[in-house]
Amino acid sequence: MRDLGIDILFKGVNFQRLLEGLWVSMRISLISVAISIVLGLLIGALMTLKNPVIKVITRIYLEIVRIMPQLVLLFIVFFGTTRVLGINIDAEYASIIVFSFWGTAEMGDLVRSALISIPRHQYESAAALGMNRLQTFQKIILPQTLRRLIPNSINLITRMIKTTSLVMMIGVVEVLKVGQQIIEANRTTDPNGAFVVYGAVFVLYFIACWPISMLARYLEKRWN
Amino acid sequence: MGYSYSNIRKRCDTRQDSKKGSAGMQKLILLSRIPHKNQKLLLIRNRLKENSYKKQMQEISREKSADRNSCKKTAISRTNRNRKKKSRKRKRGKIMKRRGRWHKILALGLAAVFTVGALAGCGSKSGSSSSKGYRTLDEIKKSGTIRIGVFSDKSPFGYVDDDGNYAGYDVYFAERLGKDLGVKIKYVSTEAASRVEYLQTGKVDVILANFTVTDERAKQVDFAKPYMNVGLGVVSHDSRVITDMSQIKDDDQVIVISGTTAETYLTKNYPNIKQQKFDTYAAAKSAFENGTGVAWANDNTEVIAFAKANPGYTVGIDSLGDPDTIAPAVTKGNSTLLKWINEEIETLGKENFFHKDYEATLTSTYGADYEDTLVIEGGKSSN
Repeated sequence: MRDLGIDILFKGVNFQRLLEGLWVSMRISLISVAISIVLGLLIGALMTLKNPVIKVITRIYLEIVRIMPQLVLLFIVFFGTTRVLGINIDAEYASIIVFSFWGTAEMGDLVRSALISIPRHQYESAAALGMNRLQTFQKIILPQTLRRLIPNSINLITRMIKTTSLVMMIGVVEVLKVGQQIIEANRTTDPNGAFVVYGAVFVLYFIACWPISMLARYLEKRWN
Repeated sequence: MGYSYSNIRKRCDTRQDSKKGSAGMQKLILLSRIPHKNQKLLLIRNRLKENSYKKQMQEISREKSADRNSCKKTAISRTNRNRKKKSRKRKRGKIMKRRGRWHKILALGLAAVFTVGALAGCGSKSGSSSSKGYRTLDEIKKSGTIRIGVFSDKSPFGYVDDDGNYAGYDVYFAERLGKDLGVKIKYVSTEAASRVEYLQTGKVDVILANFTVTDERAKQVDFAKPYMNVGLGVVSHDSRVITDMSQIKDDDQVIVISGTTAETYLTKNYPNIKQQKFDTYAAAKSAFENGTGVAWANDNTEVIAFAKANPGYTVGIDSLGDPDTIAPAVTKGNSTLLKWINEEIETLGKENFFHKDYEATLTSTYGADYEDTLVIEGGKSSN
């Protein structure tokens, strides 16, 4: 095995640690994704409103998320809340808050664009059939919106999973951090370790994201 | 165009044909645009009963609206303009009103969700930090756990070994602190950039993460007595060992890594020495090995480790300029904890603790020769 150096992955409990790290990443990202989808649908619906106050608020919210790097948001939520408000938020909760905050805004914008892309006559036709607002939304608009949402939101979700690598900056030990720890611990004995470990991290991220793309493809096919 | 419902079609036709009575026409249009309740629905439904109902409904409704639009255009263009505007406004008002109500409910729900979320998030986690932003010695003892910020990927100072345990020179010391304080240790994995923040927000009690003492940092945190030296070192090829900076000739090049203290130091103190700058450790290393420069200036720990791992190179200068020290740091103002750590370091000096620490954690990387260069015992530099 000397030639490839794969044994670095199976030294001690290294592999188990990598998997635990992946679980931390997935836990943070999937909880945030779930929150983002629910709130994103609501925010997206709000964004289509003509009400100027709501429009300005959602606009500011979206711009804040767009302009601020996620790392800055993480620092603000993790350290800033303690400094200003004296509230001590656990690092993992802080990550979930930041990722949901980010995901909700982007998801909301995707929902908004999907909603306004539904032609007006769909609303009118539904009205013509005597449906009320709720029925129209449920039976006509939502299914079409969801279908249009799938590709974009999958992009967002996989992006959120991959961006969890930032949470190491506030002390959460996730898969990439574990990888770096393994590389550093074996720096002298195994100089090629970096390649193998990063390769393994790549495979783990792939395993995490691939099923989601598959699900998206399946849904897209089924709903068309 | 296949019309499966002729009544609307008929209406369109009559509308187009009629030349008088625009008011009546408006009524007709309104009727066809805002279908009231079941009347129209029933008509269509009856016709469709034999077909699969839902699909047809959608298809037809789409057709119908297109149809209606075309009718409307031709019909309305002939009617009174004012009337047209008025009626449109009225219609839109109605729709807006309905939509407004629907969205108001949404907004309220959303606001509720956010508020509850925020309250829950804050409520569950507050209360652990005191108003002063740090925990005193007594509070730490009472809680039974000390939180120590260490590096988790800076071998051999602070890292996680293959069994998942923290290890290294800093951690060896941290273990002893915890033992003598009689509390458990909770290690927090920190990054170089966030070490000061961790202390200022009181998220850790002590930082033991290869923390170099600088004037700027001393304004933000309180440093205890030092336990290690760091300085700059210069490594060179065995064939021509540089033991003094004056041996570097005008056309010689010295390798540095951009952004390190070595670069700043050389630029400031030896402006005549030509520097070959690289962005990464790996690039600098391969350039040096290929003979690009006569020497490589970097942190002395780095060059010592390099010379030990790669035969054919010698560290000619192991301490260049003023040496910096590495010390534990606590939150600014946490005097009880600071005092205890200082006393502890002095006590440990009597049993040569840091030499033991060096032998246990650093010898394999730096060799025994540099033990006295790097270690500070009892808080006082021996040289």
